[in-house]
Amino acid sequence: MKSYYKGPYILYFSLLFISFSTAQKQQHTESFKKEILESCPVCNTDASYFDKFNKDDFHQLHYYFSQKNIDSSYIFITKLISKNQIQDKKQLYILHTIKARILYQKKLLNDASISAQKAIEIGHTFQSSSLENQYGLLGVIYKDKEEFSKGIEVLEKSKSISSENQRSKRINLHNLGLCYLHEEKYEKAQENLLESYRLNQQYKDTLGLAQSSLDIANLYYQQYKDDLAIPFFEKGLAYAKRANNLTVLQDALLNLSVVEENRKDVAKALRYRKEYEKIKDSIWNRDQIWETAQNDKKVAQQVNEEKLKAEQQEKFFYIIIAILATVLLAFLSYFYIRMRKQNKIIKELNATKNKLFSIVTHDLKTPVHTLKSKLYHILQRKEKSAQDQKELVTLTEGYDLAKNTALLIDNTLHWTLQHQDKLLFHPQKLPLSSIIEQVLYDYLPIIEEHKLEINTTIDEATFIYADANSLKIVLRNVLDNAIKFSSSEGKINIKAIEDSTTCTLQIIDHGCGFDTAFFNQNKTTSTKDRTGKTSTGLGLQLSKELTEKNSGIFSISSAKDKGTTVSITLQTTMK
Amino acid sequence: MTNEVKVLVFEDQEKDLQILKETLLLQNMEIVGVASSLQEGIALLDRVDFDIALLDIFVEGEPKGIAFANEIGSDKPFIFITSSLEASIFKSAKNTNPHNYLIKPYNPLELLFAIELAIEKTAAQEGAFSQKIPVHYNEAIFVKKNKALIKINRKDIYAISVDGQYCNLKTDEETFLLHTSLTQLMKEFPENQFIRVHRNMIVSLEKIKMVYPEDNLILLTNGEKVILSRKYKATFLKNYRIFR
Repeated sequence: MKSYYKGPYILYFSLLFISFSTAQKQQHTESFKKEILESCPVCNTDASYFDKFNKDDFHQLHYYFSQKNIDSSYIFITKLISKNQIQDKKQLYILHTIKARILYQKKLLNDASISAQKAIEIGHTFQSSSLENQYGLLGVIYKDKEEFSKGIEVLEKSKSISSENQRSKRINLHNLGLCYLHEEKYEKAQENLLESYRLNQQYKDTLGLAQSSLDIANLYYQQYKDDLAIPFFEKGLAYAKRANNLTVLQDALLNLSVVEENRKDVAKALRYRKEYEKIKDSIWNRDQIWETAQNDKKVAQQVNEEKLKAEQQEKFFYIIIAILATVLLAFLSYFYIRMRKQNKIIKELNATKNKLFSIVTHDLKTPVHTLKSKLYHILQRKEKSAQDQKELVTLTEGYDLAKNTALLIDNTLHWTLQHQDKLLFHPQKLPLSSIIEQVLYDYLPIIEEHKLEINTTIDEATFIYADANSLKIVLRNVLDNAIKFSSSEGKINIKAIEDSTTCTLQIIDHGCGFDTAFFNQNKTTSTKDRTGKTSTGLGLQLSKELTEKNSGIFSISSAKDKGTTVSITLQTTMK
Repeated sequence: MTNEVKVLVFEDQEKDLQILKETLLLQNMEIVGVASSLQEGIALLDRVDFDIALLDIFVEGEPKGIAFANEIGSDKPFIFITSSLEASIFKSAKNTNPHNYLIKPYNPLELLFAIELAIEKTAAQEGAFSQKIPVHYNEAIFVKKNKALIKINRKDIYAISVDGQYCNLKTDEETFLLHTSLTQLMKEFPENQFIRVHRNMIVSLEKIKMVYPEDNLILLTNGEKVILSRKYKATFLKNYRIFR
């Protein structure tokens, strides 16, 4: 009979397990849910919040629990317990109940039993309507701990409490019966299992009937009441088939195959066994599928995680770019501001320079010109009386100096204004010979001193169209050069060549000449004149610019020691 | 002298005024009035007859020369005198149509040229002086003689006679050679001020002292006798019977 014994024992455990799992499924009985709705601060106001998320800790506790997210739920439980905030008994009762359930699910049976006991203890103080449930829970826990006597004690207590919840009552009765069965108190076991069977019948709970039938069959079978047992086994199989619960069906088939084997009905036993294997396979398949699905889930999760990681990396990358761009922008704006500042400074400096230039030249202009004109008058008088020759030379030199300085000042002033585009410019029809005469007027003492011969062969009726002031500056510079570079008693020819729309003025000296390369390269240069004085090219450069401003052409041809010819081509009519 | 160009000066700087006076004297021109404020200037405008006005732009530190130019209007020429070369100075002056401007410091030739140019422009005879053509303006003839600008008042003219291509203009002091034809000149004169006495001469009506029709002679106030040709005698006697 040893081998015969083994079977049912295996069956017991699996059956117990099934019972619990069914007990597990009814997590919140109606009364317990009602208690939650009453005590939760969120659900209290509106019951529809029960299945919705809310920030309240207590609400999250039962919300996550009913969402099967027991870990999150447990976090809130510990949080609430550690804070020691909850004073409300109902809340405490719910909290400990859920805690016990979570711990039970985690198979931490000792802690689960402590929590369940605490819940029952609190539940007693206000006569909780769902107390019976917690007894059931505690009973199950004890049963799992194989402390069957304690289990019996607790389940008996639960039984003594009248309950409206028939389903939990049936399960409790069933479990109680099983506990007695383990304790080998067959009579009590039979009593409770039959009661459970009867109730299952009453409420037409097929699965409950299948389990009850199988357990009653086991009970009888263990007492060698085979005749009583076999009908229950077969009933159980029928109910299990109807209930469509593979695990229960599998147990029923296995038990029956063992039973038939013992009855030496090998064919039947084999048939049951085959059926059992088939179901086992399908369960295994289901599990496999479930596992594969689980694996897929994991892979998907991994993929998701990788995606997330990649996204994060991307995010990180963008953040870096954004930071870099910001830094760059900051740099740029910094430099821009600096440049603007510098620009402003440069502008201010330039303005100051121009102001200084105009002040200095303006203030110098008047006295130098006054000196020049005074010396001019003295010279005119002196020459007439022809007195001291030495004195005359000194005065002429003084006049020359004043005249040169005056020209330099005028050049600077014109240069400055021209480059600021502020120079007065008013072109009109002008008689060329008259303009040359006006310019030559200032050179008369020098011409006389050096006994220069100026031959002007320009018809008085030759007109050009130009701005008088700038033209005079050009002519002053050109004549000044011609006179400076001419040796004593030298000749200067001034002539004009007219064409239909232009008039070319030529100033030809026969002095020492100079290298024109410098001038053509638009560089200011310095050349030594007849007296060894150097002259900067500023005058010529300015002359070129002002001639061009008058829509003219300024050109120089010069040969060393042979002389220089300056040609200024000007318009004769308004353009 | 009657043949001096009359100049009105608007200047508040004593030194500059001095230079201007000296230079104008050199050019044999007459300063008929000096104003150193806008008020004085406006008062002078009503009082004096002048041929040209020389205006310093900055008087009393403000561009009052321009304001004064606006008072003168367009019938008389004026010249702006300034030491500034900056175009901005003339921005407001443009509206007053400056006939010329003169940059300080200037030499006598430059001043003279500026005045000539302004007069030419007012008479709408630009370039005339360089071509020795007389300029008709302000009841006078302006001519260049020995590089000097001469003003000949019409009332001072005795007679103008043809001299080859040109004309000889006689006043009681001088004779001027004008580079123009008699016909051309007569076009510029108002009718009846000058009378043709023969083919080559016109005389001023005002300067006729006596007419001797029988002798075909006209005696002028300066004692000169001119011939009245037979051709023009009839017209002359017809128009001026009063002298009979």
